[in-house]
Amino acid sequence: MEELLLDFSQRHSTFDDVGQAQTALKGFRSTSGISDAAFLITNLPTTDGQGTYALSTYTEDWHRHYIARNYLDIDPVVQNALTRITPFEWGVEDPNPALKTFFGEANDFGITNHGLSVPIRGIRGDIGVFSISSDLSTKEWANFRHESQSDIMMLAYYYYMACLDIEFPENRAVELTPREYDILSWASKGKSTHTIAEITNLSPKTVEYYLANIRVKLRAGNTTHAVAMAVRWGLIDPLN
Amino acid sequence: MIIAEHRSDTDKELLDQMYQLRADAFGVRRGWRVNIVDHKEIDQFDDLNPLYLMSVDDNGQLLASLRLLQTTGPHMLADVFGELLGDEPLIRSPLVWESTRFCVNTKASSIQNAGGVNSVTCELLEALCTVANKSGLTNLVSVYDVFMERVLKRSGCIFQQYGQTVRYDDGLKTKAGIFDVNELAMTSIRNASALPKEPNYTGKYWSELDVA
Repeated sequence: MEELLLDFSQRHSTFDDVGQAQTALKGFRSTSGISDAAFLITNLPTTDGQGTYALSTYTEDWHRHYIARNYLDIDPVVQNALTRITPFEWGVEDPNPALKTFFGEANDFGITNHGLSVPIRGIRGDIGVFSISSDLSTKEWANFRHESQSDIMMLAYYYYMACLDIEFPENRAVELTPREYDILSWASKGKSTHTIAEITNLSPKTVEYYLANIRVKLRAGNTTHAVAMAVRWGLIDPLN
Repeated sequence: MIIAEHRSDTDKELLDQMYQLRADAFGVRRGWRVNIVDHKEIDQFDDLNPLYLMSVDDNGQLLASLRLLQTTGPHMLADVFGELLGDEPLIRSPLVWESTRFCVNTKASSIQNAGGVNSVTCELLEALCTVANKSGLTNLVSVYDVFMERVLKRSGCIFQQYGQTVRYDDGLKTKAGIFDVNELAMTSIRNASALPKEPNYTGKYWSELDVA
């Protein structure tokens, strides 16, 4: 998953349109362990009133079936994402007959049993949910989830931010504070966390914390990538 | 026992107990500028469906509680206590949640640990760190005053101030802090609290985390 995160962030730091977002979703399927991916965002305060977007790698047939049955109202993934902040699994046994039907039908359309969804609360009152489903065995899936949970949460957020750019271009704007600028500049010169800590008179843990924050801000998979992004956008000067 | 549940899954009677405990702890005892209606303290952040951690005794009485929010969306440090940041950037990360509205029903429990901290507080802090750790987070962020800061230190929490100190209405100096939630932090809290036995965890989210 770490590679997937790095790969995604290097190729898609932003989306210009829904088509690009859809293509990126398809790209996730080539990762072992992931059979499908989906993304929904709702409650967007857009000017044209179109506040909900749904993308997935599921078949056209399932999409048609989903819309015809008004499944947006009972889809447990959507309903859960609206009412909780924590990642959640789906596809588990549910006594609710409507949901049994829902998942049974999803199976018929090739959507597998194991899935993980990550809800994201946005600053505009919007809610995003990024989902992956898998055809791994139950045991493999448990391992996968255990190892990759944090990476999946980060990937979900980067994907969400890239989608937000489509509707709100100002979302792309990134600024570094003076301290972040200093720390990232030293990192760009190849200084280790320890050295940066000595130079800036901070603890190594604090420097690590700042670098982690910078990585998220720049939607980078690792620090080297963060440096590359910062240079590309003129946030730090490579020649300094 | 410690219950971890979202607002939508929490028993209504327990929610009311929590809002009343908050009204009592913050509005009455601490004199904070909070909105109390019908003896309950509820704010706009409760509408975001936070994850609540609640310590409850065998009779169903609430002993302590706190709430967790994502920092990617609206939260107290971003929208109410921004002044505390000073020159520091706002924290927006899917791997950092904010913990707020930490309160203890001191009338219902008064056993203390070796450091002089209420055992219910210790237990809730241990639960908080465990939830954060098992959810895949790197850190927690929280706003606290100097009084709470002493409690957090004596409970073995590993944290650092983030930003500047500000004196708000009640006169107490207030700070924002970043908390570790890794294995080291969990061990530190466990050692400081020295609880006689493992807390009894329950609730929908606990079983998902495989902690129960």
